[in-house]
Amino acid sequence: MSMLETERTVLYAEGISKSFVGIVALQDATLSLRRGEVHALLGVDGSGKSTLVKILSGVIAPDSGRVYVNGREVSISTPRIAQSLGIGAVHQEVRLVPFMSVVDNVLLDYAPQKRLFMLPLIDWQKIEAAAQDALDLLKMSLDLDEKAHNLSWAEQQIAKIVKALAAKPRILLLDEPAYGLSDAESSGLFRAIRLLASRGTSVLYVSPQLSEFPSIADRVTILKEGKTLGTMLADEADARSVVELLVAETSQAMAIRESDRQRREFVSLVSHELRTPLATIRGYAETVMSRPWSEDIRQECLQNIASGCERLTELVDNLLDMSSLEKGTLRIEKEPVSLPEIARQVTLSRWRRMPKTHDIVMWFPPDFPVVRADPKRIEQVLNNLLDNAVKYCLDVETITVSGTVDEENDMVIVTVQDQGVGIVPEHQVRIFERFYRVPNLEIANVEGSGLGLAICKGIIECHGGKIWVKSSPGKGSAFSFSLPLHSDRLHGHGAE
Amino acid sequence: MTKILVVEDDRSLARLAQLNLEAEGYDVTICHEGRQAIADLQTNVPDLVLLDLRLPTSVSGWDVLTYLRQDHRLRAVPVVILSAFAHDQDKKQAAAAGANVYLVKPFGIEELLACVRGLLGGASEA
Repeated sequence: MSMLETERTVLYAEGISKSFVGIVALQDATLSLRRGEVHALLGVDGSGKSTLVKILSGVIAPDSGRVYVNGREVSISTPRIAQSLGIGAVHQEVRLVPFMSVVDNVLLDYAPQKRLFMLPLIDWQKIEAAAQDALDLLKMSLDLDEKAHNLSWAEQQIAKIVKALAAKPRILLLDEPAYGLSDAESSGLFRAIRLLASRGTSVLYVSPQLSEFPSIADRVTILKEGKTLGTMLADEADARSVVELLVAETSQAMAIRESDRQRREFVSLVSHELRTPLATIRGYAETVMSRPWSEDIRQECLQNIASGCERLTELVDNLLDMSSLEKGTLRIEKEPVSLPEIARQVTLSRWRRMPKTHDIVMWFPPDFPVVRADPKRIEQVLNNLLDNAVKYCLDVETITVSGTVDEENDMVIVTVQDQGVGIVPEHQVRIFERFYRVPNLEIANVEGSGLGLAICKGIIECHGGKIWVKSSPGKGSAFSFSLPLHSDRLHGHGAE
Repeated sequence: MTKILVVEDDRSLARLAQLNLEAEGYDVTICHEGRQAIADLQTNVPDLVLLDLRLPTSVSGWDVLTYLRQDHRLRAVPVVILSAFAHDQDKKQAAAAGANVYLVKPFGIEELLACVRGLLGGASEA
């Protein structure tokens, strides 16, 4: 706390924690209350608001934490001590004593010293006057001699406030005081609170509603799941920033639920992806055994079984890679590599396997720098990008693999450019998500695990690079990835 | 000759169905995508349709199924779904849309052939 803060602060609580049989109600909560301010304490039910009020008014003791009143550390172990420190409170669930009149109830709070022996000396007129003052302040009327159990809910609520006000506290803690009051009564209460504040009383106003605070509060503290998220000036605390603070942690909970949902969806999708190659293997195996087929057809069946197994293997490999990437355990064995050389090998081996497919043109500048990377993984990325370029082509077309050096960012960039169907912008970001497929593609024969680009992204990011796509529908796509140059270029092959 | 239309985007599975059905003496037509299937159905009325639900282009297997059940010439043609979606919900939805049988991949060849024979009244013509 700064000096100025200390001077203005009448109540300061820090590191307040409280658990009830293992349930954390407050965790390291901090609150400062300035002289003559209305301070709103906002939070949903169960966020710990009432617990904080009870701790500050001596109803319950905190497990840990310190409380300072007027700069002095205090131990508010009972309501009496709170009262002697000038702290008054209206609790949510604390009722009036039903068979006593309003004035008698006020008396309970009003006569602090040894009531039992002092009773004959109590100045009833003074107490009644104090209660009447409080009612006048609220601009409300109430029969002070009425027994509490004869009062309506709203009247009881008003009597509770009167009881707290009559003791003329310097620090007033109000736990949802407007609950059950009519609009007129509420605005009377708000007016009274402002008036009290202008006379130097500090008011902590606990509210579950966001709409209640702006009219009366100077500052706002947000409590969420037992933690104070922050304090801000009410002027700055427009509904949006408050909601943002409140929602911030909720979105974490939502993220957990979302990841749960994704996990279930993932299992469902994986089983779907496994079924197609399994159907091929089972189908052709049963077929080849069922009849005396010609040798050609037997060969065809066996080949289909083999390719089904290949697809399954690829899927399982991809799943393993994906899982390693998520756990952060994907093994990247970096060594100095020549990207043009890897590109050449990938292209050659593809050409050997599928001689009649697409033309692949390579363009790398001479003296393309050596980078440190895992050659197997980079090969995997390039193969994947080339697979996609072939899969999403419209007709026989040319695929270009090119490399550039981005001196400014100390990166090399490799781009695989096709002339295929292209991707509309809304899908360009999402295609790097696992199992994301561009819906309604006007192209047949597209199969795959749906993990390829997600894995590419993971591999490139493990290298400290980035992967992105530029595409226009109908004209083709360019997938690029960057890899950092670092100082490895200086060392070249000699570094290893 | 009994005509069967196979709508399946996976080429090896389409060929698998073709091999076995032709060996049983059926006349088999293959379509790898939904639009092609609907074009074929506009001129031809098969005796049975094998239909994959997930097809790659904008015309899905569901669309083909809907088309089959809306066209008065095709309404009675039995449809066998071949799908990798194994949830009961998918099966119920397919039944509601007018599918006769729902086979989950990987299905057995004998299972497929028995089902086709059953729907065609056991009459396989050589």
